[in-house]
Amino acid sequence: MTKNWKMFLRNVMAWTAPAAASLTVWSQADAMVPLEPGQPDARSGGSGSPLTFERPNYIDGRDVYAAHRSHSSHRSHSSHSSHRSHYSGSGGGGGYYPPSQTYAPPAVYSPPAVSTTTSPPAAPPQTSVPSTAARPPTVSTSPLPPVQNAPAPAVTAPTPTLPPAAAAPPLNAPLQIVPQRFAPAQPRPNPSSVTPVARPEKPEIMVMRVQLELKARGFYSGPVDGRLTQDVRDSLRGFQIVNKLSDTGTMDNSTLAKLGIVY
Amino acid sequence: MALALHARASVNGALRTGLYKVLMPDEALACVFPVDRVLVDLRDGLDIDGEALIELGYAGVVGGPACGEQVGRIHSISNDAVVGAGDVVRLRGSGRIDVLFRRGANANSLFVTEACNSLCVMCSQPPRDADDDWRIDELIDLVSLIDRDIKVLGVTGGEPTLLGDRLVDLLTIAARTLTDTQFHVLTNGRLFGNPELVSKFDALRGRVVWAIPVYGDVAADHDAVVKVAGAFVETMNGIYNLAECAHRLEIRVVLSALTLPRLTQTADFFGRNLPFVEHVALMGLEPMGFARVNAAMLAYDPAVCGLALMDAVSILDQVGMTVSIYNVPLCHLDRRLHVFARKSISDWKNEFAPDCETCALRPGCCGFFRSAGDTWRRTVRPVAAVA
Repeated sequence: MTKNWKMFLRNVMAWTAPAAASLTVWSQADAMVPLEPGQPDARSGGSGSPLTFERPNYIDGRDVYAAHRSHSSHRSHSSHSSHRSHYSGSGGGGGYYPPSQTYAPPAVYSPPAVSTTTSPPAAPPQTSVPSTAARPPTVSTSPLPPVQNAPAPAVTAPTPTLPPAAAAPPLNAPLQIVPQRFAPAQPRPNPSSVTPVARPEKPEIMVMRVQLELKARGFYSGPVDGRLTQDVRDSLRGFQIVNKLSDTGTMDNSTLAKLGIVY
Repeated sequence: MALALHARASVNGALRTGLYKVLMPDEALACVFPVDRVLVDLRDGLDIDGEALIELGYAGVVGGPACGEQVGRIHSISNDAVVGAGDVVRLRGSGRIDVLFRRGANANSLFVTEACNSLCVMCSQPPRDADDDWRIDELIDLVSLIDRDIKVLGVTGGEPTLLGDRLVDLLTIAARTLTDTQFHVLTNGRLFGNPELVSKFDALRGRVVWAIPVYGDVAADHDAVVKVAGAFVETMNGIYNLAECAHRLEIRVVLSALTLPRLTQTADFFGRNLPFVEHVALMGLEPMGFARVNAAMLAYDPAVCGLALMDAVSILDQVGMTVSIYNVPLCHLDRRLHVFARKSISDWKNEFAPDCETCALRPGCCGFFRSAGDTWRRTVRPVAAVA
């Protein structure tokens, strides 16, 4: 009996206490302060960010890495306008806003002098297709000009092996919706103070990852050196045949997926 | 269990002093962290071309076969276990390595300053007026190398709020970098008596839990513990100012001979005056620093402590506040309090008494601080297994 009325009292407290805290004395000041987008709304239910935690599965998505060369050079020239056109072209009118409209910079933050060394990995303002809240640094493709990863004009082996056909695959509907939902949820004040994080854009790095995975599976025994040699391509082909993939000998998405490489 | 945080190693000349993230090759190549800050861990004997890694911008390698002169390389670490994959290390001159962040440890925190405006009698980290401005710069650097999936990151000192805008900077950057992390800041809250300071943290509301100690329901009691007249009023004003801006709050009480006599009334005080606080932490004493010096003033009978906790926890629980008991071995607590006890002591300073070997409760017990002497440990009463 004792236990029961105590439980009852606790429940009553649990119902009333939060309401009291948010409705009476302590909510007054919040009303004045603009919330950053993406910040959980401290008061009541919260109007703020749409809750979407799915990320586009790149296996069904664009063949981003296979299209890497053309993609990255494209980006370094005029990616912004192209991405915008994706947004508007997808008929984004239905209640979604491009981030530049919803974002209100917080009043207090001023970038410290050292911030250039921090390279916050949260995705940059207008993230392109594979943006996600879960692992921003690995998947987002920065519209900012890459600093240290500027694609060298004379990259050796990997360039010619990437299938050019996949450069601009048709975008399907879900892929377009996801980044739009996400975009307003990512607080990006002061993009100018942000150094883009290194991304797995360098083909050599992806080759090394492939070499590492092939090696772990016993398909490859050479050095892990980032060079897409004939040896590596043969190993890739062998892996593709064994796994009933099309034996292209290239690092296409289905092969990367089978190797467990996420980018 | 307790793994050192320092080691020595041979470092070849190409590697500058500074902070580095140690990663296994697969993770290093996934480029989650800026490659020029990553040391690739080759101690597993994988045949990876160090020179190719350097060409791609990586900072260097750990272990592995000897490479060319231009490849920064750490090898022959005095204790290999100290530096693990995922850790952030500080490389100092003459081959000294400090681990600043350890992947998977339960006690990673940002130590922001040694300065403090209080002088608590049981402080385990006595303040120093050293000039430690460099800490924030290093921590801003460190934050960019911390695992993104860490749930909670502590911020401690000293008194963090003494840094003012610098703390805002650090937390802002950290909150932006570690997007899913909750920050837990240990502060005495006195400076938050000034609402202007509170407003500087508006953008961080919800991301930070301010953990503020209150040592009694009477100003004189609290002030006697923190050794500053007027501190109680400042702290209470600070708590209300933070609550007014919808900040998340935790109240902490360190159990000692000074706080136990009125613990029941203190709990009552919290229930009546601080009902918005989301967590009350009642914490056993860590016999370190001033607590060791003032042991005679602070020491208490575990039985008295157990009784006081029974009352205080009951009150707080019944008013609907979340309560936790830290650093008190389970055998010092009434069985009904066991659900409130947390296995809390950081794994690098956690130990048990010899008698604990036979105890059935040991797996869920916090044990003792390593700094606790035998007199503390002699108080254990092993509990036999219950069906």
